[in-house]
Amino acid sequence: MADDKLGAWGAERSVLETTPLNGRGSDADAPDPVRFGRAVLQLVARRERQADAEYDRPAAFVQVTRGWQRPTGTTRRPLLHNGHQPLTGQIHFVGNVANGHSLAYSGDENGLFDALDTAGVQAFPTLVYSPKQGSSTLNWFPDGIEANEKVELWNVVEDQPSVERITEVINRAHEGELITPDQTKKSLHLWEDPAKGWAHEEAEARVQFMVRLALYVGFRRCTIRGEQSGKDGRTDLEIVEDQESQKNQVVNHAILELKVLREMGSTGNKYTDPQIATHMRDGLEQAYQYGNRRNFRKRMLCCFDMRAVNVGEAKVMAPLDAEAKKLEVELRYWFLYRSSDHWRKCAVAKALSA
Amino acid sequence: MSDTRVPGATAQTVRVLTLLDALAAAGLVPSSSRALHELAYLANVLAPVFDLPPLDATLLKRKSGPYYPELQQTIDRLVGRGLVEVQELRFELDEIEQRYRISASYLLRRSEVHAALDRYRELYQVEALFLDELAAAYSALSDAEQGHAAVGDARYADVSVDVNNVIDFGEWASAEKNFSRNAAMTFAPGRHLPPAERLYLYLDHLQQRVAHGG
Repeated sequence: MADDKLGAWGAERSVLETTPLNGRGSDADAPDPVRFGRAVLQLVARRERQADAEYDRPAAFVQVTRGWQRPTGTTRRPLLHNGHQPLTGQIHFVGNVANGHSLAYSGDENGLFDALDTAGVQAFPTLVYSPKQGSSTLNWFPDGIEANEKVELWNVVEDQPSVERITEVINRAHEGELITPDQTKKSLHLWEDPAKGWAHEEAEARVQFMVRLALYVGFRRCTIRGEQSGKDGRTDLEIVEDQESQKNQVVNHAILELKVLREMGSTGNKYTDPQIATHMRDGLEQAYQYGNRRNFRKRMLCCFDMRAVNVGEAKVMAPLDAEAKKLEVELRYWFLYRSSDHWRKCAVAKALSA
Repeated sequence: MSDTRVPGATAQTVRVLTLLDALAAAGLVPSSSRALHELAYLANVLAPVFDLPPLDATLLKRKSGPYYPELQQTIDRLVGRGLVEVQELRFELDEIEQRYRISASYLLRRSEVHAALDRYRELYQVEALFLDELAAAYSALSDAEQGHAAVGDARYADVSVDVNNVIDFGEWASAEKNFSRNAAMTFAPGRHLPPAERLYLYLDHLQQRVAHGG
């Protein structure tokens, strides 16, 4: 019977409900270069999964701007993203989701770079794809090929999101963005008043956002899902692989529960030690329950400590250690300093007490 | 960030410029008049996916697909003011409706409009993101499919409204009659998907229907 809420698609409810997700658009909150990099890497990986994938010549993907005038000879490739079309021997002028136009070039790698020069895109963010069965790479030129001293090498076959890799990725976000307020963009500040130790009321959501951005970069082939509801509650972050998989085959890599441990709230209200302990325990239970019910390979509780004194990971996490082991939940911990001065003082105090 | 609406002619002008900008970002430049009208329709029916109101919640149903006369007047005016460039202008026989329509392709004169568009993106971040994502999803349609896809849209193709009658999805009729929005929200029941992801899923499904003559 037709569904009167779906109009002309009234007979298709079950088709819509069971449509496999492919992650397109799931990272729309990421900066443009991050989305571009993810889209290209996913596209290349998708292409390499096809039996007829080519490994003959390099290709380039150029992230073009809105006002850019494309050179003559380009062809629009509406379905470039689906991995069913040849990629090599061409320059692809694309947007954030790897759609756009392609232009064939002649010759080898030198021909490719000459063609990029001729197209006038030397200063555009570019990924150069060097195909090789099983070990293809992408060279990332964030400021274009003219700034060739600034290049990063990515493997198309990425490491799996193990607990160690996830920890490394969050370590980078911690050192780069979270560790002191100086590192954080104003709109994402974690502190209402760092001098008084008052945490921002959205501190947890902001930590979650920054960790999500880091995971987008750390695991370009994965979809990073936030706030997934279920009967048992709502998960913080999920790392899943649905981009390259066959229909309906989704790999649930890891579930991350994030807890911010604050001494003072945004209005100076104090959190007691038992309250903080309960908060952490809730996180442990959530990580276990959500991970277990939703069949995630790894479960992690990630704590971000905003208190005044850094007593160290071992001491803070000790009360949860035994249960976490039993429940197979990995515990991870990062300390967030109120200022660079606070960071220095804590480092000195730690050295002196050693 | 503000997403309050601007009224009337100004709103139409802003919509034309931002649609052309979003189409350009998606690589669809110059943009055909058919694509522009179709994207304007999809922007109206799918705006609620981003919790935005449609700019216009009614239109006259035509056999050959969405066409907004007031939008076309705005485009013509912008061409006259030198803000939009017109290319490939011609009269084309609409075989479905058996009448001639103006067919053209349009592109922005960037030097004239970039400051206004930058300001728009600052003030209307959510709407700008919505149009960019919608145009990016729309760009997966082939040139032949563009301008002919919306006739398979959940709301447009609904048989409860005959050709030459008004499709209403929120002006006088209840917003529940926006079947396109309802369909976009039907994917992945019980899961929290970012609104942009729902647009890609919707356009993918629409494309499949068009490809299969649906």
